[in-house]
Amino acid sequence: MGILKTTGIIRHARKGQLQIQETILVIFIFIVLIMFGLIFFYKAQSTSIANDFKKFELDRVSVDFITLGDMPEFSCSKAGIRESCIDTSKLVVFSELINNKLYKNYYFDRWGYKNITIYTVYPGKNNIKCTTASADNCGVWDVYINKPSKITSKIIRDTPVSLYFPDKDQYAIGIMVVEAYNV
Amino acid sequence: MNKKGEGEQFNWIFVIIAGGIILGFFIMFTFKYIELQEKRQDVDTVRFFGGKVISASSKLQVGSGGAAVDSNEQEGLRFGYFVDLGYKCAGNESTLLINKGRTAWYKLDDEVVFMDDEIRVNALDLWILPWNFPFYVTNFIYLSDPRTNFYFVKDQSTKEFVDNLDISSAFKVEKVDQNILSIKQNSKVVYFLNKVPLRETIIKLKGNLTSANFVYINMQKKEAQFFEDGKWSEAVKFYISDDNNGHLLGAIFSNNADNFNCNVNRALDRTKTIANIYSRRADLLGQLDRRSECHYNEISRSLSKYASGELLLVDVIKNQNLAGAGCIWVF
Repeated sequence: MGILKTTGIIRHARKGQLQIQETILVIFIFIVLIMFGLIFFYKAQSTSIANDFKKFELDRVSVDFITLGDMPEFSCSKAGIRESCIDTSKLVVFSELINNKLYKNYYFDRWGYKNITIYTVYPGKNNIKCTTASADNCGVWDVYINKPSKITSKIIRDTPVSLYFPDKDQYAIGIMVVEAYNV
Repeated sequence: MNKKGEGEQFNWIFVIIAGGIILGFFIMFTFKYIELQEKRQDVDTVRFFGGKVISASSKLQVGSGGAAVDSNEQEGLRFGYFVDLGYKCAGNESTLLINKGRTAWYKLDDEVVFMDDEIRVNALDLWILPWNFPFYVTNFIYLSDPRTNFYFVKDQSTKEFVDNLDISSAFKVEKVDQNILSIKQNSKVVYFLNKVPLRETIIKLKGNLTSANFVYINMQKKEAQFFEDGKWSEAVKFYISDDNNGHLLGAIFSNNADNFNCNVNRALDRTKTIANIYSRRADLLGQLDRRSECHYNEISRSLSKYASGELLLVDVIKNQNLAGAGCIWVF
């Protein structure tokens, strides 16, 4: 009888130990799962925030191009007062100045790998490229040309612009086309 | 019976330890989550402040008097939360830092911003002023903590100049004599005197104030000095013309000699680049419009010298840009 009682007690004790071990294991796994979940959530959120910031910087470049005509390098001015148009004589001068290595590096820091071209569309199209020699009768300005040798993708954006011809004191409508390259 | 009691005790110990570990994880997660939200807020701040305010301000067409945004007005610049704004300018690069730039920053291109190197604000007073030197170069952006009180200290020789110095009404400015100067927390004292004030005078005036900045401007030499780390900095040269004192105002809104010097140089580098364009434009106009009375060659030569660093030609060039008899304005 005593032996049976002892055996029963031992069986209960072992059962109890097993249950405790089971509980410990379950809680341990639970903690590990929570830990992994929290770490994953933190990493995902951090990556999302970093991507938001990168997207903001990319969007900023796009917005800057819409306001390219407001830069003093291109904008019209009379008696020191700016007007909302692009001076075509400045375009000619700029497209030649940009060949200088110093200025090429200066603007590359701002614009990177891009092609910026302006075409007249109204009152008439003119396909002649503008240089100092053809400045009085032309309609295409290669403002900034910097295309890399290898391209992974490109984005093309265009926007209408108001053009001013100072020699004729006339205005026209043009399209500014920006091709942005990813390397 | 004792063993049953011991078993229960062990159970409780186990529950406390396991509960403590789980609680610890959740507390750690809470702090990490707060950190994440702060990072997100930094990105939102740079998107709003850098992308919309600074970028737009630099391109706005404003009159010669500029445009100001007072934080107290309905359309004022208010963040809704406190943010640590920093400004760093070195070499030819300048950056606006949000909370020390840990997550987000705004790299300035052609924008020139004059502000203290570090401020903790939930609102800002903003003033945009076009800088024509003598042609339009860029908009200068002046930023200040709305709590800052400006004190312009004058003497007999500078009284007239200081009294006529125009500052936007968005800022709190008092123009005082040196002997009646008394400052409080969040003060910016700008001395327009013949001699730089003694270091001991500034230390005594500052007392225990933690937020008080001091600037000395020598109008004869056109130099500015900033009181940093208990002493006056080296003098920084600036340039003003008859009708444009953008740099002088920049010295008033800055508190750091390096940043101010860097901003002056960035503005001048930009000026020289644009002067080069105008010089070549004048040459081109001379080819398109051959009338001798238009003097395009003359202004082209002056602009070319100006672009190579002869900045004192600013008034000469301004006078040469007079389109007469139907000539084309060079700028």
